[in-house]
Amino acid sequence: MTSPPAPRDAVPKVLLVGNPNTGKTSLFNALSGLHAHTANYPGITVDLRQAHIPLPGEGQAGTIELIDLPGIYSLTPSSPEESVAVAALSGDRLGSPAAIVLVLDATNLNRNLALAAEVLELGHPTVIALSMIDAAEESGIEIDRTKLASQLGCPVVAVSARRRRGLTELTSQVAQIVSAPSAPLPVVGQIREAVSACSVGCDGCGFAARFHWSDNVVGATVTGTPTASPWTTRIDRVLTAPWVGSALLAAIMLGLFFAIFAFADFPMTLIESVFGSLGAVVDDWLPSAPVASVLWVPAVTAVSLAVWTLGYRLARVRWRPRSAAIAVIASLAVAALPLDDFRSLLVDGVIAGIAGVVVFLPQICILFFLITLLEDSGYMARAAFVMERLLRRVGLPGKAFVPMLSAHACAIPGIMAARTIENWRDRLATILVLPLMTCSARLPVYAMVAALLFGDQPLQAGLMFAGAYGLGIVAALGSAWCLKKSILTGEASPLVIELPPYRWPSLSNAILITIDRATVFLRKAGSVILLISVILWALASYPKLPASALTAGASEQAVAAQSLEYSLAGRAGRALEPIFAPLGFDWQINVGIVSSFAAREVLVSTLSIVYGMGEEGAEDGAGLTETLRRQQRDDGTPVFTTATSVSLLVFFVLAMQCLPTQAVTARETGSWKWAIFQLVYMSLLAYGAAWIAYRICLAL
Amino acid sequence: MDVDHPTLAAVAPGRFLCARLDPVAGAERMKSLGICVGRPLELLSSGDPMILRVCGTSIGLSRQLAAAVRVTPLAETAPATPASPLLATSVNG
Repeated sequence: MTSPPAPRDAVPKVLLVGNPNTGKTSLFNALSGLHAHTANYPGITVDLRQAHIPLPGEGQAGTIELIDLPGIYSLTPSSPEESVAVAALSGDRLGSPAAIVLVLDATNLNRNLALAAEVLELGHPTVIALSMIDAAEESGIEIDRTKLASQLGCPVVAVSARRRRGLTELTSQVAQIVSAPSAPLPVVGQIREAVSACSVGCDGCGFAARFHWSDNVVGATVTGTPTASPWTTRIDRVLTAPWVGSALLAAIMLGLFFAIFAFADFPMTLIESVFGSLGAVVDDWLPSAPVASVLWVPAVTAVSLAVWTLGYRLARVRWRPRSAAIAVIASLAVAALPLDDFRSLLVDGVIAGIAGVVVFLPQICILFFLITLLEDSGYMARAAFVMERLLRRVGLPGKAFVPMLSAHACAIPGIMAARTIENWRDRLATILVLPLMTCSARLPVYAMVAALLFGDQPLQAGLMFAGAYGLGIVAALGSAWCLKKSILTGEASPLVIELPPYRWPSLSNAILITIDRATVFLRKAGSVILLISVILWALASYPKLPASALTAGASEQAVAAQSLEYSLAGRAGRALEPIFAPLGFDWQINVGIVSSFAAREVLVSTLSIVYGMGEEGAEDGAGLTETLRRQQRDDGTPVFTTATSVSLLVFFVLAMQCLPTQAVTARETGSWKWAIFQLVYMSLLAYGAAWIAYRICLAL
Repeated sequence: MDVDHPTLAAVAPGRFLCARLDPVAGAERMKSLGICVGRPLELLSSGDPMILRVCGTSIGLSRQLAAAVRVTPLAETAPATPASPLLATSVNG
């Protein structure tokens, strides 16, 4: 097993290993704080959290790169995440680690030591972190650390991430073994003997022997037996009961969504007004008359290049001849724009594009914060347990629950969360149906339709929202069932899941993880959506309406509407008329659909422009609704009848309109073929369902 | 020794000793969690999925997988720390 030697002056890599639910990630967060970020290592399909941690001590010790590996139960991986951890430990992909920090749960050494036996056999310099020592002490467990250290042949440090105990001691021990790695441990030989000595009764896989060895070590070093926490057992009796459990889960989920909407409202309004002011400020600040080219062109090119550099860094694109050429050509093109176009690009393209992404951060952050709290408390395992029966009926595993929940904020983190699903077919089915769940970006569209249909009837509007969410969920479950019956045949893998004891979740841990997830969203979705917004701006601005076509005395908004009709986007809308006419859409709505196929939320502002209310119309909710209601087709009938509004809603609930999500699907499934399949089946589903809804509404 | 022990799916809640694990998909995961030959198990609730207590933690397990686990009942007076009558050798720690 050869692994590439780490370059001499590279920062030594230290791997954080352990069972799931041992407080490993909390320990990582406690050691790294805000210095952690998610890194992408070549050849590894899972992003790993890593942090550069300064080591105490003089001389050789400097900094280490601490990498948080996914939790594993043994060195035989069952899921893609676990395979990454095992590969990293054996020195593939990341090179030979300088040291390993093995996290063992002090309240459950019996099982944790089985992994320790396997990891110690690898022969890397190891430090044992005995985590959750506070919980162990509270249940009356005492561990003789010196004896344990001699049994295992490596230093043992008691830590509590929550109480911040033992952290400095841990880093000093790591510093010591990184600078002076010890010879192969004698205990490794003992473990090997013990494992090969066990023969009878099992098929030689080694598990039973390791557990037996672990029992002996525990017997020698631990006093006091860990008992099941009585609270956990009591609560579980209720939470996992057949009907009560499901009802409580539904109630908790409703509470979750209510909290999101209630708390996200204020920050979202704040963000919108901040970006609105920013747009106005930039507008004022730009010169009103064209400046001399010799000043203008270099200045704008320089600024544009700076922005591209920032964008590349954010999206982690490397500076190669091709990417550099793209940046330079685009900057020169921008500098060559006439002043008015440049102004429009900045305000309507770039700033509006950034605003369009950032405005979703509150909802995404709140949802992830609450999900992380629930995971930390141990409840999510029970949720997967309760959902197992329902999801199994459509061919999905119970573990698909958390990805599905995350997808209600944004499908991208949901798709990434599907990595915990062991079976490939189950995982693929989950990923393919996730975007059907209502994500935050669809909500502005729902709100617009709700205002059209139920302007002053909040109860009906609320029911409509609930119905839209429900439609997404039902469509996802139904599609999963169809997939499992046709292309991805096979029963969902049966459930094996650890139900950790309930614990008070850690707020600081949740905050750090939320920041990390929000950054991932900005990085993966934000950069692409911004680029798309600028492209859409170009499609909607060019070709420009020739002066001769302007009607005399037309208002600014009327000119804007005319220009949009003349542009590429407008022409596309006209061209699509025959296709979308059966759904009740007119060409203006089609323009909105074309533009929202890359980013859903763009529909509202596009409709506002195309119907002559200009950009500002999108903010004037009541005004926009009135304008939409007044729109008439060529034959005099209103455009936004109930039937059209409903079919528009149904279309948006089900359509695949998010390029960043497609990119992540392609990455997680390993090929664009599945992303394209997702686009095709969801488009057909959206079209068909919208048509049916339209017909039903017409008949009523 | 071909006594057909009852499967975990067929017994009422109680304490057991794992006698044999049929080679099914998912057996590796069960073994790594402690559902392994010679280990004591406690069945807490038999529904679908069922809840076991093994190696100090609770595990949720599909009935389908539970049917692959063959068990022998453990007497109530058995010690809390495991004695493994099925392993021929004892190991020095």
